[in-house]
Amino acid sequence: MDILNIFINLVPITLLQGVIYGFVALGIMIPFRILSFPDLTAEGSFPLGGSVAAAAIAAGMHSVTATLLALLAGFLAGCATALIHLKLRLNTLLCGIIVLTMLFSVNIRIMGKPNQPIFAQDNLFDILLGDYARVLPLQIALIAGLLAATAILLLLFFKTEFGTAMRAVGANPLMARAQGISIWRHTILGIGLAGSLCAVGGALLAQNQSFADVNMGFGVLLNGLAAVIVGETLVGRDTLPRQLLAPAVGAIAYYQAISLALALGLEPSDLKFLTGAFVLLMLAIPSMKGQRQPVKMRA
Amino acid sequence: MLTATGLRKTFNAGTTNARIALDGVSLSLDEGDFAVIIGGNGAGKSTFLNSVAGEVTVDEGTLAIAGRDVTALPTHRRAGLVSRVFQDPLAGSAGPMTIEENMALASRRGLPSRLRFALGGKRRETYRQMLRVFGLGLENRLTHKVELLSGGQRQSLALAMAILTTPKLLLLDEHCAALDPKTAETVMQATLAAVENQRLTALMVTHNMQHAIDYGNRLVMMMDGRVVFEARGDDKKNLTIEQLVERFHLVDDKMLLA
Repeated sequence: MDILNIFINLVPITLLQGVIYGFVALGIMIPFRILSFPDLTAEGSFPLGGSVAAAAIAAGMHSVTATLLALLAGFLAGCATALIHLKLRLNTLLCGIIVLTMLFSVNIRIMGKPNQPIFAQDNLFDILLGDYARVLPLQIALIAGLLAATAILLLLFFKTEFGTAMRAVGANPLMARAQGISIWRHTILGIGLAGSLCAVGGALLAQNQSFADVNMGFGVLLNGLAAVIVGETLVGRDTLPRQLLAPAVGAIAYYQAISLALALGLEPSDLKFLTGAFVLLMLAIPSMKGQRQPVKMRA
Repeated sequence: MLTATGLRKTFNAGTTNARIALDGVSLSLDEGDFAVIIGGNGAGKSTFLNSVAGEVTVDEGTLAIAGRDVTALPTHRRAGLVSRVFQDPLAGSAGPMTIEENMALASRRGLPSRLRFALGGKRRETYRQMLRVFGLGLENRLTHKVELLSGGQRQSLALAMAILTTPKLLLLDEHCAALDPKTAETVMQATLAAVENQRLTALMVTHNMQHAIDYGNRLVMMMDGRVVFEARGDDKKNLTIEQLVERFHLVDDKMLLA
């Protein structure tokens, strides 16, 4: 019964984690699934978002503006990765590694130190929830609402001419070019969009825990990828709405699974291995069955 | 409508693998011309077509389409003038997207993509009508993903997309070669009908000598990156496969077997 009790006690906090990381999962799904551009930049744009938001709030900036600033910073980080790939024709994964490594230094420069507490300042929760800012269910509802609104906006975006063109670039670049679609423009903006989602996730986490740390991104890519895979297993990815629902649902489910693992007595430090093993297994099953490649890359 | 002057292209220039693909190709098409290009493997047909489309940048020479110099323009900036059907039926459409989404993209070929919904109620009927021509039932499957279609269906869709908005120049890159004979015939007939009805200027590469003689008003033969023979009008109609083979000692078995 102890295990169950521990798990139930963890539910609210892991739900909150789940919805915050839902933004990151969305930001990881877009490069991997829509743009066929396997990308690791999330590992750098997530702490970048946290660092920018924390530094800006610590400097006295309004938390909404600070969050938007983080969004912009993440956008630029994504653009950088996409530009390096397009300009130098390097493997997308390598471009992401270069950018995320460089961002480590950038993040410390932004904060002026490896971490930035913002306990004293009003954050997004204080401003939007007022006196109820410390009520966990309300925090969850707030972020869940933001996440749902983001997913719906993305769904609408991907149905516009611009969004459809972006999907075509990921699905078939040769055809996209022949239809007059610029591979450069749509790739850069798409990876930028993904970067801004990851950065918003970082900004929300930093404000929720009232500090940002330069190491807060470690392992976030694999967590996000695991969340995407879990979500796709649960809701599928056949249609655009499902493909966009999957990361959000997956992130929530993934963090519940993590909390179960903790309740069962595993050390937090064991989780990276488990997550890696899980992702590996999920990627291995399709290729062992001889099905299509689980992660598509551009030709 | 198309003016190609002195096109030259060498792949892997400056290395031991250097290969001259285009060795001074000049070709001029008038409005309404339907030119068929034949030639053996490595003759430069595909490189020529790719250079017109923009996928290959030429080393020398100039290209103008509908009076516009496009020599330096990348593929996507020529798309307003040129449309193309590839040999590979998978190449012309986006598999994970629906038929109507693909058609919507084609309806905006060469135009800037806007932040407006790509699909609207009125357009569906246009798409239906265009797809009905093929008699493949595609008109009832607008919301199906393209990757679920057969090769022939997908190539028919690619053709419908290429002519949805009338191009200044239609490029057909052996677009029936990968299809079964019956489907190939359907797609070819639909192609001919579209060229006729929309008075298209077209450039078709083929390995099929009979097609080259039967279709179009101009025949262009390439060899070793050069245009070696041209025929038009009655001269073209009176050609026979034997004459072509004999005269140019074409012993490319792929052409004979086609």
